[in-house]
Amino acid sequence: MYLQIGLCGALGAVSRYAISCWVGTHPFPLSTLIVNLAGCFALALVNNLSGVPQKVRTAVGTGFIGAFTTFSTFSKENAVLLLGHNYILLALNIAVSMLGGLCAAYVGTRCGLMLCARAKEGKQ
Amino acid sequence: MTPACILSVALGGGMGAVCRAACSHFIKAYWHGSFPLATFCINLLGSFVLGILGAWSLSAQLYALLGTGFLGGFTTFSTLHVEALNLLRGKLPAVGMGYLCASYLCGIAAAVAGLALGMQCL
Repeated sequence: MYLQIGLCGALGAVSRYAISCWVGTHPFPLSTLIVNLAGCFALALVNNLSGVPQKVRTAVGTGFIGAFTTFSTFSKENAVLLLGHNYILLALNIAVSMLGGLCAAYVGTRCGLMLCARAKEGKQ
Repeated sequence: MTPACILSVALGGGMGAVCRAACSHFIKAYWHGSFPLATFCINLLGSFVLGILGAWSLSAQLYALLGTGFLGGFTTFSTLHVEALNLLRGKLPAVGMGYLCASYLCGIAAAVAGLALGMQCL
């Protein structure tokens, strides 16, 4: 399983890097926020697709999405905002990441369950 | 975004994801509590080491390999929030909220400590 996780992880990290290059650097760490929120939605969605084989879900969830999102860069960017006395941007980043991450994961869960229910209906 | 940097990010990211899976597997073999200790430790360790790297002026390619690639792939934001949401929606909302707040606070503290240590070791 580690080979699949490694390959998907490489793709996830490159996708994150591409988005960060595309978004560019701003005083507010926008690219990390975008990838993290998108990843929360996607991981919750994938975890709830019970019709998809567990191996595929692990490769995509743990590998691709796990490597696509990043907590270390998020923490470092917050530390830089803190040390630079940018308290408003720091509070904004923490609040939007925390609430947005939970909301994205919730919406992803609902979407995953809905897709599963539809797939079951389609089979019947 | 040079081809060398893309290759470095891919190599580091793949290795980081594998290390996360292995560490998580190892910690979960010994820790059976409801608090998601594996993700918590991985994220804190990654934040601390990235802080150290951030203090050093590494070449773009080396930072792409170790920082953006390895540590970016090693730590995960999505698992943290999905685990926290599951705890919040389940029977342990206090553990979920504590996990989320502790991860954020300790993550920033670890990155600040890493930056400070990195400056010392320049």
